[in-house]
Amino acid sequence: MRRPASKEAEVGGQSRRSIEDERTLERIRSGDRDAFGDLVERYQERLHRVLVRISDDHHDAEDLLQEVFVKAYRALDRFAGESQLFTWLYRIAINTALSHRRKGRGRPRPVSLEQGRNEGGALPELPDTRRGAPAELEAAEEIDQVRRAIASLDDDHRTVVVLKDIEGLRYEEIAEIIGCPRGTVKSRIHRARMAIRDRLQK
Amino acid sequence: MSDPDRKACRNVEDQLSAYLDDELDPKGRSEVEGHIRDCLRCASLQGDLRSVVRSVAAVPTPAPSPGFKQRTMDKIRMEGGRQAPRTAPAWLRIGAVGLAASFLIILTLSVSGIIGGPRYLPAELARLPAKNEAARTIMEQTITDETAVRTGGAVDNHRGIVGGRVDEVGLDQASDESAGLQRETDDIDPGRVILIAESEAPRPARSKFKNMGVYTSEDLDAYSDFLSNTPETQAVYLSYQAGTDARKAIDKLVASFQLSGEKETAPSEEKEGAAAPDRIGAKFGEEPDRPAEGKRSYERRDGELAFQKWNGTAPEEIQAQVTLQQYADFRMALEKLEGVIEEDGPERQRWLANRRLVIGYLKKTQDADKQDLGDRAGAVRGEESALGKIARKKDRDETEEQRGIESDTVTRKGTKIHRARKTAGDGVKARATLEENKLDQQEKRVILVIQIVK
Repeated sequence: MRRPASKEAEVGGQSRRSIEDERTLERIRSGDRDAFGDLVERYQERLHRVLVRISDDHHDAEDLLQEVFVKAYRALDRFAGESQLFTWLYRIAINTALSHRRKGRGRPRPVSLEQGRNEGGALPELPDTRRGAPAELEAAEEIDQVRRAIASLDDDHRTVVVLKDIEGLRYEEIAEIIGCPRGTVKSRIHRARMAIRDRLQK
Repeated sequence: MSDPDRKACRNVEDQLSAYLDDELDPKGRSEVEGHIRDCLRCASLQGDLRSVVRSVAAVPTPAPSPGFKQRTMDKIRMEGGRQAPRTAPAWLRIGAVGLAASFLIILTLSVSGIIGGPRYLPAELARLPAKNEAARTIMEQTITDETAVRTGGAVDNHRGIVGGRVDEVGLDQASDESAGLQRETDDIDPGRVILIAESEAPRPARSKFKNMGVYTSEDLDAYSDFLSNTPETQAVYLSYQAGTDARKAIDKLVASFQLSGEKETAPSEEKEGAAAPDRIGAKFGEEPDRPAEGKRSYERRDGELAFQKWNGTAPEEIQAQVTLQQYADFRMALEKLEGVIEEDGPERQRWLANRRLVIGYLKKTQDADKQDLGDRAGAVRGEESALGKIARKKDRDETEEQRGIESDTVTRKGTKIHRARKTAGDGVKARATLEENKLDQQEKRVILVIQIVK
């Protein structure tokens, strides 16, 4: 099993991205605050994926994403550069997502008829019987099951599985982001996958 | 399956995810590969995990909506996305702005002729003794170099001016003398005693802002009274001291008295025995003569000390303005002494009007400063309170988060126990299945053998 091609490329381009981040940081520090927009552009999709999957809240993810960037902007002067910028941004996103999830736990959500189908346990997509495509339906059903399985994991395991299997990060990068030893990351990833497998086999 | 086999399976099982993720070293990788070639169960588990990874990666996630970057940057620009400003404290900024503003006002007034008139300030500079370059530079900077004012250069210059004057008398000496004076003058001038007593009293409502200074309206009144009761010769003395060279002033004054012969006293002091040339010299070198009782009499040192005390603690911008007035006083006094200005002539009227304006302006500035700084203090308190709220909220959030983590830990422990039980159960089941498979295979082999035999 390998990551999708695009993510592979992103991982391959890790050092290139670090260099780009460094350049952007230098511009921001030299007074070009608009350069922050480049960071937003560079990381918005990745962080959005992380936020959606970790908070399991498709509705609020974009607000959370904005919150992440505003927090990062405000704290940029305190970013010491000891870690890489992208790990720092992931850390902010994960904390924001987990905090949001804890606050929202047990709180009923308004159900939207337009948004969030197959997301956050709102309205499951109704099968389109006219097209009669059982394979597609089956795939959609399977995706929903996997999503629920991910959402059912506890915070630690959900976080690592998202960073590994959705974001395609290396164990060491994940360890840096969540502040755990690499061995812990390794065992959490394995346990998380085992848990998903068990759930899917039920 | 033997015990060593089960142990090998457990070891490999823990490595399977890392194997799939290509995170094992070569030795670990070959161990896993060697094991799953022979172990159906582990090979099957590896297939399951591969499938899990593929499924998780395939879950689609929508991208942020178009225009997200723009909206975020707008939000950062508009609502509090600014980083904490790294500027000077509020009181310093206000001080600098107030100082700049007050000089601009003075400059405008002087250029427009309301204060001093165009010939007053430049003429003032021109009249400073040639050797007194330092004083000239300071005055030029004060009046013309707004940048110096903004960057605090002028503030330091004025500290220099004021500090120079206070040093000459000496603070300890000043307070001793003022205490002695109070006793000595008890029966001479009751009004003066009250004035000194007031300026010695604890100052009410001291501001916590440094640039607010510690001056009171009594101090201003003291200064005003002092100026009103001071002959012009005294103003010359003070003005030249402000220029840091009192001796030059004395020499010049003495010289001008000697040159002007019998015109030896300031017009307003003529009837009350004020400075004759020799007495002026004596004033700066010896104990001053006690003036006779009377409405226009003055004691040099009590007014001087009250003034120094006040001015030494006044905000820099006020000190600067007082210095400007002192120079106007000096110019006026000098011109008077040289016979240029007639008593009650238009120049004298203008000078008196200037003085009223400046003193009035000082009072207004003081009030405005108090108000402004009061407002700022309110705003700072408001900010502090808001920050406090945020900090408290953050603490609450963190506590909540900690609780969340703790509860998660408890949940995880429960999950661990459950998983351990389940794994144990699975192990039993798996062993049973494996045994069954073995029996099946044996059975198949038996059947095969039978078939072959047949």
